[in-house]
Amino acid sequence: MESDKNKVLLIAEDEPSLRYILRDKLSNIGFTVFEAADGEEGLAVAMKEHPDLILLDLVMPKMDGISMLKKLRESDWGKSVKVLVLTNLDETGKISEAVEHGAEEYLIKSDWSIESIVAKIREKFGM
Amino acid sequence: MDGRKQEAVLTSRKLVADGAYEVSFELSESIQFAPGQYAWVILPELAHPDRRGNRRSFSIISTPSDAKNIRFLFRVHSPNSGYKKTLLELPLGSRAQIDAPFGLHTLPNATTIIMVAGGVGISSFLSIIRDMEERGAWRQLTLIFGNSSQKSAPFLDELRMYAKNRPIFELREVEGSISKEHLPVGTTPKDTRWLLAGPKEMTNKVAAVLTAADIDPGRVLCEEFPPPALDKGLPVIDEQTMSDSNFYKLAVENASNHVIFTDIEGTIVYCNKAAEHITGYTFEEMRGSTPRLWGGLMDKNFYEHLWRIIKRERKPYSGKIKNRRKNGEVYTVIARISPVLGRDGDLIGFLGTEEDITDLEKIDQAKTEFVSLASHQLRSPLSVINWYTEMLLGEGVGGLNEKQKRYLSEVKNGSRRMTELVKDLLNVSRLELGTLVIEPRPVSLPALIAEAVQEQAPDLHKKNIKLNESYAPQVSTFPADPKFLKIIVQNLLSNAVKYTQDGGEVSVRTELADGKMVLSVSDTGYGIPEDQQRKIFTKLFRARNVVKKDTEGSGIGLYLVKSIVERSGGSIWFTSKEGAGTTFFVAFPAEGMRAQRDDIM
Repeated sequence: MESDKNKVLLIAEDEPSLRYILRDKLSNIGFTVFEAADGEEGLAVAMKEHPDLILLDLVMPKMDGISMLKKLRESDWGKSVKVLVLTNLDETGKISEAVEHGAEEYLIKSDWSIESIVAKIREKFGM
Repeated sequence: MDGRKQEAVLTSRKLVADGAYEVSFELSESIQFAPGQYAWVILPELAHPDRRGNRRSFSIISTPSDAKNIRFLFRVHSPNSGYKKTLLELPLGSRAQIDAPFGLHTLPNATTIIMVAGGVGISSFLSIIRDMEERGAWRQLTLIFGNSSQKSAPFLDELRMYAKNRPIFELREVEGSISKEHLPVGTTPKDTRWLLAGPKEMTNKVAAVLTAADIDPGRVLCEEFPPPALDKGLPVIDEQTMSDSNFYKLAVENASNHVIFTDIEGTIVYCNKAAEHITGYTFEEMRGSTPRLWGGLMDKNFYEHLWRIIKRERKPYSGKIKNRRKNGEVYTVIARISPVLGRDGDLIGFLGTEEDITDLEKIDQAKTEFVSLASHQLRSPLSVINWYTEMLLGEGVGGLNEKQKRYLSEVKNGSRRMTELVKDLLNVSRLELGTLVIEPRPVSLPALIAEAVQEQAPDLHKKNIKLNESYAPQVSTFPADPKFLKIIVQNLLSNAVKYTQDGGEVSVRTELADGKMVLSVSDTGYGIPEDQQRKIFTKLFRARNVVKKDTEGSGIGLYLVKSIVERSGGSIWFTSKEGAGTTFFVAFPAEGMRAQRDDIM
């Protein structure tokens, strides 16, 4: 089985308490985790660190998640990076927009436990 | 307390003071009333015309100890109403109807009560005073009884006798009109209750004195008689004068709702001021056109349906319609369109009334948007609680003792309930805003139901409820939006489990009947009380019998289920018997749930 250590994640989430707990959990089980508190920072970290998967919040200051996703898809590196949208914004329009731009999943935070998010991430890596 | 109409016979009539008569009626059945209540006396026909009609209300002056014979007091002014004249001349033994009792005039729970009566206003208090005497249950009471100097006061001897024998009851007789010096304001306890009854002139004057003395109006109860002037000299308006004058035309012209008349083809022949104001077109601009001038925004089927109802079936139509004003603004109305028939029964035209509800809808929309926004905002702190309790309960952060685990599980459970509630609220607001999107695709019914059953497994097990399942193979795959079908099944199933006693049974079945997929969920639970059944799909409604047993329900589930079912082309109904159980049925056409797009304009 491939080790989690080989995988790099980026958490783009403006709410600190949610970001910390995700980071703690994901780094505890061995992922390498980068964090960003808004879309601009998220885009910069992504372009620099080239994560294997991005957990992307939608409602964020400076640059929202959908804009960050679009910018990523416009860049050479970001065309194919795995993106899981993890948000509390539950709107059909946003879901289809995210999916159009290649988000692999659209998860509502309040409906998903951390364990199930971890399972989803592992599934994406075929673990 | 509601009144009940019954037959009565006039048994006596006595003059008890100048121009004041006491009448007695014997009832066909005894009535239950409280001292201080009143009755309507309906005379079968009036020997003298009276534009106020053949019914009057009177205080009952007898006591509940004789529930078959009740007495009233009235004074005859001259010239007088046709009603009272008729009552005065009515032969003993005549029939009348009594509608009683009405009004609740029980004595307030105060240390001191002051009754202020003018003339026959005493009738409001006689029953109360007589009842206290009969039962020997006197309370601290002062009666200030005013009587105009030209007339003798009714029942004064009786009241004087009570006052002489019962020191707790004080009678103050006032010759002429009652004024400030007769009223013990300032010397009475703060919680004193004032009961006033008499001619309007007197009650107004007394009330003004009490207000000036800073007495809380909430402590003053007032019953006034209209001045006798009402019975004479004023211009008369009755149905005849209303139809002779342009009364009805005035009413239509000045109504705040849009009113138009059209011929059979829909050509406008009349409109009122509001119609001009609401549509923005003047009558001159409308004349010769049809309401298409501002309408025509609904789809073709709608107008075909409308014409079929009003023209072919000749029935009134009512419903919500979108229109466009002359300035281009779209507005929403509740329209009612009725066929107008001529003397020979032929259709001659249509009457259309419309109420502009655009502003009301905006307010409603703002409210719903607020709920939607608030629900979204609630999700972040809920996620914080959910994830941190999950981590604390999980491995790797140091062990908790059993008690700590149990406490934390309760936090998690509460947060889960809140998460579900927020989700329901969001779905309700989507339904109300019309932003709910329903996308049917083939779904395995047994698998989807199994997921919902799985969620109920802990409760099924805890309450030892037996679950019966039966799925028709013809509809094992069914075109539905899994997200919403799941909400339907979850709600019906969790209700069935929640409202069934330990050891009961819950059954889920699907079948194909009359070209429809019917899903039913039945239980052997508490059932829905019959008088509450028609409210069961109302938002925030919870049945009386379950509110006592369970505090978890929000009153949103069934409202949401019904809205989803109807929005997606299905129907929902139920059968229920209190104490025996309930079955909910949901039916969709065999072709599946109907797709619904975001229909916000």
